[in-house]
Amino acid sequence: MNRKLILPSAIAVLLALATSFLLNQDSTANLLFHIKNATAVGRDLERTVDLFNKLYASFYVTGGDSPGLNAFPAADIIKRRIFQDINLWRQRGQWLIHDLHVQEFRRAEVLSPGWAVVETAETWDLWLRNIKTGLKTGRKTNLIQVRYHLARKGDRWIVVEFEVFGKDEDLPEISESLV
Amino acid sequence: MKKLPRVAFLLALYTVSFIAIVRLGIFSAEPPPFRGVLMFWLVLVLSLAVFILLLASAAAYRDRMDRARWFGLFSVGLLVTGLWASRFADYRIDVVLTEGQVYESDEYRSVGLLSMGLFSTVPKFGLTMENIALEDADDGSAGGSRVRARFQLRSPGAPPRMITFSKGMPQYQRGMFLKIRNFGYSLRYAMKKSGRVLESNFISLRVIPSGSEDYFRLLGPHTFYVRYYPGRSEGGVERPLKLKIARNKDIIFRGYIALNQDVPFEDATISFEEKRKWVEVSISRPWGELAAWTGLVLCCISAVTLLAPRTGKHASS
Repeated sequence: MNRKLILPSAIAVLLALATSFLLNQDSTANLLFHIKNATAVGRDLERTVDLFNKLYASFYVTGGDSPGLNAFPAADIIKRRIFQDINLWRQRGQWLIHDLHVQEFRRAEVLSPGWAVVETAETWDLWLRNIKTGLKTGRKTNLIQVRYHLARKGDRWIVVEFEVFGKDEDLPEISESLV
Repeated sequence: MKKLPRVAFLLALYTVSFIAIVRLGIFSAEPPPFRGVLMFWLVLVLSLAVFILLLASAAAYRDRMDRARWFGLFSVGLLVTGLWASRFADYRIDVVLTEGQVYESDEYRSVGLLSMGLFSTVPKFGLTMENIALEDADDGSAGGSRVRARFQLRSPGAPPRMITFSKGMPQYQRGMFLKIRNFGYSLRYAMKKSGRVLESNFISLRVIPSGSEDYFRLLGPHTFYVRYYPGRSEGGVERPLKLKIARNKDIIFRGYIALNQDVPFEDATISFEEKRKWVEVSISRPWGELAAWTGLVLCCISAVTLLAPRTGKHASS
């Protein structure tokens, strides 16, 4: 290559880098994610699911009246599904109380830079509570496995889908439609 | 190197670097698909600018142009023309069809639409899904990895034509490419309350090979998870469907069921009344894209030719 072209060529490549940086949303967060180590990312994923479950339970306990909605790491469609359920219970004059007893993380894996899967074994105690009398009835222990699908939004993960399985069920291959 | 070719070279380097950086996804959540990067407006404008500069260079230094350089210029021209033609004229749609289903392109013009050029029109055609056969095991029990579908294709001013093709064997018909992308079973569910059918529809599920699980949701908070085991029976009764109903995280039903069996949940019942097969067909008119890919391959060949050690009267230019 002509020596006179080396500096302008380097500038052209740097300009391309700068343009790409400026045109992407959350460029800094994405760049930091790419250089983060796998252990730290795994911890982030588990923390996200932990927070998801805590707030999930609190929404049911309070009948959806919770200040945690903005912190809830979930896509709008998940929030809508949960609150739709809570409202259906409310119409029956009941709350379905969720109490998380066991939460065991079995897998936390980033499948592509913007998509991760976390699998857990969970034990929930469920009660129906009458809204007027406060009486608890119909206790049920729900032993399940859950596969959470998480999408990365800048520097945080949110749950975009979760699949529920029985405690003894074989987890199927990850559905292509979710990829 | 003179000024004009130098600017063209630097702009080309900037464009190629930009495409590579965006494709690598260093600054994005996910690396975008290569096609998406090439269709990005900045890449289109830059590639056109590079081509214009190369044309101007060729005109200014006509005496230095040899066959390899003309070939390079032609390759870049084909690539740029293909990119712009794709942006303005290509048409790509994915259509999911269940056996017996009729599809008219102008009725469902946006369902499954992947891309449509700014000046492109929806081609007028109709498809009727006649029959789908799983080639390695008709019941899908052996995995059903090969599928053969038979369609009726209709287009204005031409007689209907029956076409049959398999996955992995695209067809070219009446100016369009047709390709099978996916397949599975469609189940017709019926939601009933007090014996009255509230809602009934086919739902396409990816439950091949057997044991694969897929799910669907209706308006409520329930998720219906389905697995299909062809030929499975219990006590002489065929129960090929494994159904699980969850209300968010609460599993309220789990078990093997037969077709037409009413499964009670909450204050309603659900049953699966009919089983058919579905395929997802990709239909495209990708002339711009084909030209762009051809241009890209020729550009690579041209780059190798131009960068290789050269002899003859233009070797030092």
